[in-house]
Amino acid sequence: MRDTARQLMALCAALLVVSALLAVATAWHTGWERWPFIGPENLAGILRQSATFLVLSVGMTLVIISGGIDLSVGSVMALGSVLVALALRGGASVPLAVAAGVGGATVCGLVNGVVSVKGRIPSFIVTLGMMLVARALAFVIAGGETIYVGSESAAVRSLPLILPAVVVLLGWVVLDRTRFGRGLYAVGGNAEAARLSGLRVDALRIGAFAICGATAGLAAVIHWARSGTGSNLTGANAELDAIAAAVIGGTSIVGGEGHVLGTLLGVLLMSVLRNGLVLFELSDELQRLVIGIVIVVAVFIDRLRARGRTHS
Amino acid sequence: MRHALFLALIALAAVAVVAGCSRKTPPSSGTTPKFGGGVPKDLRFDIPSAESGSAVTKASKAYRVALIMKAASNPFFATMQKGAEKAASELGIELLAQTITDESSDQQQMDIVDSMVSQKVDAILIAPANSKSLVEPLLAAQKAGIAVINVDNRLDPDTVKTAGLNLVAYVGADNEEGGRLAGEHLCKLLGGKGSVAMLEGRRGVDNAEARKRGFLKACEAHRDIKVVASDSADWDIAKGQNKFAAMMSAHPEIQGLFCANDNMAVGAIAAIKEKGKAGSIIVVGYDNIEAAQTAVKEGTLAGTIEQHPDLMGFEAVKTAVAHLEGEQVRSETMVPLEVITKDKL
Repeated sequence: MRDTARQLMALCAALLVVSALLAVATAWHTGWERWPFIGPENLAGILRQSATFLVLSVGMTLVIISGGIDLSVGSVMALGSVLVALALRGGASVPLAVAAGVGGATVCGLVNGVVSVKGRIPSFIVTLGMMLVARALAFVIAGGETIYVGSESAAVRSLPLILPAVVVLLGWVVLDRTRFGRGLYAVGGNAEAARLSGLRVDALRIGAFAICGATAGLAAVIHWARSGTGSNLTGANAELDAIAAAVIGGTSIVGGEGHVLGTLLGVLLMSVLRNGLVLFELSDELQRLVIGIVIVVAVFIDRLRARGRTHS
Repeated sequence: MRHALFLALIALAAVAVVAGCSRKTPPSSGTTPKFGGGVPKDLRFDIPSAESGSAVTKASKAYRVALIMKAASNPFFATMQKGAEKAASELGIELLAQTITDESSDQQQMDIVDSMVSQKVDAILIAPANSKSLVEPLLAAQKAGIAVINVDNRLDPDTVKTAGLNLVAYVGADNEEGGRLAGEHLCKLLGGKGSVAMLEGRRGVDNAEARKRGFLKACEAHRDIKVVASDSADWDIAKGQNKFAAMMSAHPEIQGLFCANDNMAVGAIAAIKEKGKAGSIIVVGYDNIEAAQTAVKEGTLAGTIEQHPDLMGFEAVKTAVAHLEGEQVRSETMVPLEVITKDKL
């Protein structure tokens, strides 16, 4: 665990260094007239913009730690958003609509889990299929429409702030302090050894997928809270961002390693980079170039660390 | 600790190199950016323009105007940006131009709107990726005192009304009329009879639906024209190619094709060539991108619709500044549409 603490502090340092350098760079870009990056509204904005990203990444972290991967979270989020919007349009109360969205998304997660675990099909393939199915279902159910159901309630406005905090906290507690969480690490680290030591490997794996589905549903709720809409177009490419953030945060892509706080820092690092690059007025492709480089370097460092440990 | 700092430094080095190379040149007409191709060789401002009617020629202060567009990979928006930059430099204001990854990244656009609000810009000009989900983020911008102007793709009027968003103005093209002009052109080239197909834009998006309506209207006016196939290829080249290949197999009698944007037309033309049907199917596109102009000159594309995005960008900026200067502005400015054929190039 000391190694984890050191890794987290290292990520924190990286985040602070990147933020400091971006603060200076964006100020220079304005000819030193302003300091656009460090304004409190901008920082609050970064947190607000990270909300769905963060929630998805926490769920993804659990799945990756358990040895799987979920490519369908963006599409499941779309399906969830459509369910929420349709429920609201049909007159449901907000809590009921949220339950519909999160419930539907969790079902998708369960399907992912059951099919890949019991069917012994790599989760990459199964969730790839779900990625297509969920989005198509979202299109069909909504009739291709984007559905708008606004809300004036202050409680709803606060969801993009509260939900991510709750999810991060719960994710941390589950992974760090519950048998379920420890089981996930064991399964991801060495599934055979886990099975031999009596852990219910299948249930653990399926559980991780179900939770990931649920977080996709929560992300849909946050999207609705921010935009009032649900559509089949929501969450495009969101899965790739979630995976990237988890990996930058120290989650090993082969399983067995990772930490929710690391993922949080990974999300913040990517959001900070994105925000800084937008303020810098870098065109979108160049933004993606930079973020792509950061991801590859992060994974490279992760591999170096892993190799270093097995040799010592 | 060392590794993480190394990571941070690499990231910043990447940013520095990339940003330094693409340093935004001060906006002035005639400059071509070093990065990001697809910028047309000339900007046509000499057309009889439907101007916003603004009398402002120079801004009283350096307003900060954000131009938030859709996909950078679509040359349409590169042209729009050039037009907007021209107006910005003429008026003496600061333009912050932003694009997104692909036509459907409304989340990304929402985040950019949010960033611009944090940056307290004076006005936001936006071509929304989603006509409904951008309304509430824009409402937040309006509540923060930012003027909101809708460009190109319309925000959904019902959603705008329900949310209580007060748009300062709309600057765009009549997409339905554009679809109709394209349809008329195609029907005329077919001599008023034959089987035609359509590759639609992204379903549910306002300008896609408008172009579809216009095309169908034009076809209805010709009794002997039959629309045998219509499907969406999501504005995408590869999807356009695959979809039309499938359409040709299912309906070998197709003689004409309307594509709601030139990207899909380029794909369809490739599919036609692959199938060995070059010359037997008449294709009309929309957007007048460079690839389409080449195709029109070659003869593989019978025509495309020019929407003058440069003029859209130009007038949108002028409208914004006029409004900020306290002038009453026109609520709708429509740029003229043109059917581009070989003789016009």
